[in-house]
Amino acid sequence: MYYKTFTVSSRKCPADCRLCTEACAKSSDPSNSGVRRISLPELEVETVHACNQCSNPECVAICPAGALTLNDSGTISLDPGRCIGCGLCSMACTHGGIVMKAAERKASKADITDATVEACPINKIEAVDVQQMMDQLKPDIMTHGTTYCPGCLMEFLVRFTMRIIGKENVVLCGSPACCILGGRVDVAHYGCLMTNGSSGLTGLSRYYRKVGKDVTCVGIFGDGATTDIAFGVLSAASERNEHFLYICYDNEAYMNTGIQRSGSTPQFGWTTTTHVGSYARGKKQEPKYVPLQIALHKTPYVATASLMDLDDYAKKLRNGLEASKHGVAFIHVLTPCPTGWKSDPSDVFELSRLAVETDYAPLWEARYGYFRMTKENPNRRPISDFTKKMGRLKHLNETELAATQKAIDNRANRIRKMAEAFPLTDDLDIEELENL
Amino acid sequence: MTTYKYLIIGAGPAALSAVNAIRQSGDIGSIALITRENCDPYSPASLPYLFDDEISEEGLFFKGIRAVAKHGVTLLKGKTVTAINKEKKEVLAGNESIGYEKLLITTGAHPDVKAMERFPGIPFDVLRTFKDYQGLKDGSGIIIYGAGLVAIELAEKLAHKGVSVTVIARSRLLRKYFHKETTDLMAEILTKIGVKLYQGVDIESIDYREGRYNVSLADGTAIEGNRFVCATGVKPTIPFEGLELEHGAIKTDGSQRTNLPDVYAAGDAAAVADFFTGKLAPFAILTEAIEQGRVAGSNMAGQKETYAGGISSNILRCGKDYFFSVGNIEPDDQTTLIAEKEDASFFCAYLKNDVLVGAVAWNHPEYNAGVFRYLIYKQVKISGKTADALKRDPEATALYLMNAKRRQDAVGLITTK
Repeated sequence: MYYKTFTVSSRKCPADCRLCTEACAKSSDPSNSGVRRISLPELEVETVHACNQCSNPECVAICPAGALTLNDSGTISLDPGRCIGCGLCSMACTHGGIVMKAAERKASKADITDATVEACPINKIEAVDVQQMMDQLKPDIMTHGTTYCPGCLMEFLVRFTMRIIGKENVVLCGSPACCILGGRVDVAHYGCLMTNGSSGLTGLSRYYRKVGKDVTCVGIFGDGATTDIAFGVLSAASERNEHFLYICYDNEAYMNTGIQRSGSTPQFGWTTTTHVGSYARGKKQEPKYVPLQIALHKTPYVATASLMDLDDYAKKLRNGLEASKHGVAFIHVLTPCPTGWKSDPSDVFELSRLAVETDYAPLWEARYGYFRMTKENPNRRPISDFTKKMGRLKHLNETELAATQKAIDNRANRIRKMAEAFPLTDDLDIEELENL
Repeated sequence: MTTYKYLIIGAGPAALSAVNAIRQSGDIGSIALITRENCDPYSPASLPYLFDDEISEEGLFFKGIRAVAKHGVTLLKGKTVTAINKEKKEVLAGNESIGYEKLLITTGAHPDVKAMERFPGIPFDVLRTFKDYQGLKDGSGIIIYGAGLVAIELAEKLAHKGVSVTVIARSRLLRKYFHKETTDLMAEILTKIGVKLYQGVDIESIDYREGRYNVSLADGTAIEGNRFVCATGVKPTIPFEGLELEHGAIKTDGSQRTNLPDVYAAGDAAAVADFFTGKLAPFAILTEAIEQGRVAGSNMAGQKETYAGGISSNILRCGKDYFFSVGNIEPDDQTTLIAEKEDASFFCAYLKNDVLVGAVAWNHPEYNAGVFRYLIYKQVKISGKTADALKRDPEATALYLMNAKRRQDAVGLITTK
């Protein structure tokens, strides 16, 4: 089971900082030459480099002595006792993870360790340990067989969400959109309509509080309901400070009924009610950005999450569960839909990643109107990297692309400005805000 | 008769790489390795290291034994495949027929000893198999005829062990892989550690009596020794007739397929496309054998993979000095060189049309030869500022360019066109 990894963010190292390499040099492990510092000020590059810990390692494949091993933990280790110093690993590794040590006549891997993470003053290198998340995964509540499209990420979202939340003392609500869950889930389920999800959740949660049962009410609804036809209901429930967790899977159209436009559909996006051709160029309006709209209700918790970072989403779910004891907790997840976006079913996770990397789906959270970015994105990719990868948006011409780029940048930067002006810091007195 | 889903002739690095690729694809079908050798799988690249105890016999077989156990492979030892029935999909080994759904030929290569035809009746050793090593291991006063990687590595190890060794190179040592400046350096190092080295001269005559060799070189030099190793290159081992050949090796396409249905070939036995010219030829380089094995195994298991073509990739340790050369290091008038040279090290990158085509280094063990390989394969553009950076700090620039290219290509992972 692969449970721990180290990530290197694209944050720039301070020009003169070598603390990580110094920490590694102090290590007594001869098979680990430590992280490598890359300093190319002429190219404005200040970063670190280490072994990629590949899952299909070139070095392990070539080592004639079997000195390199892919462990069950997912890391690759080097046994200096078996290493014959032939150098073939450093010739085979196209990731630059192995160097040769001339004096010792041995290879040495450039591995990040906990010491490296501790040494870094700017949190550029982080340990991501999902052991806890993996250990705490609860049973899958989805029944056998699936009635969803090939590659459906909404189905994955439901399964993963419930594996984090569990079914004990939980009622799960859905509606007859894509998230039509009745008969498909092994958890107490209440089917709402698309237009009244938050009302259903209100009634349920108030009932359980009235009879003294500690039951968590969770709703999973799409963007059609959330952004448009049940927006008022959600807004009202947020205003009344109802107690439930609301997860919006945003596939940016009314998908289940045949890919009709919603308030979330991007401008110029093709849907069956916003055609692209000589008469029109897809959806006319810019999309509504519903997570910000809900956050401005100053509810206890709002977050955006992506299925490209399950550990982050799991943390946000737990935050949401806790906050749902005090008011409406809302989590927005951009959910690529191959059928509606006209993309390949196997691309859904890559599209999720691309959405984050292009700032199309910035990741943040907010409590009581105070904001914080949860993921930085200093090397923003151009939006065309995203739009060209799906049939619904690849028709964009230069003007439309420029307009889209501007809209995406504005949307992401608006949140960043909110986070600057109203920062959600650790010293914010949440209790005081809860009691207001 | 037993039929295996995957039958692999040979048990060397290409074979094990194919086994790994098959299992990585998720296929749990039966795999058998059939080898004419009567031992566990091993990599011939390790053999020189046995001579100075840098690897033990246990170490030699460690990886092969582990791989066979881990991947649930049947090992058929001591059997030589001599014929194929391509309609029935069977091979013949001895008088035993073995069936296959997919067949992979990784029979490798065997020593090319035509240089010894001039000296009929003179006994000699070769070094390609474990059995060869066993015959040679207790030898002393060793004469090595040849100038390739096997010859030089063996000489270096023997000298390291304190065994008297002489190398006779008909032209220049490692001529195919390194320039004269580099091999002159290597010659110095080898001589310093005790190798008696003769370059640019051929053998006139060999006299052998009572276990003693008396070798006369064309320039009159007399050399004496107890053992004579012919290390003058290898040629592909072709197991049976019916295979289309190219330059004596089994012709393959980009998926390692041969002309016979469901029959693949990889490694030293195969003729593959040169990355630069596209011409088919045998390419006896270990990195290429591993990659071809991976491509063959993947394709046999139903995944689509392509072999991008062979790039010469050589790394050698001479004493404490590391040397590597990758790609095309023969400059012409279109080649730009980016070189840096110190007293005890050098590095040179060869660019054509702003694209890296080759690299060579001495005493830069911290430079990643594999990353330069990657840059050559991906034809990453290097010009202006990046070329300047490459000159100033080749190690860091190469890593940066590789990472940037990977990031760029990550978008290409998405299959929607």
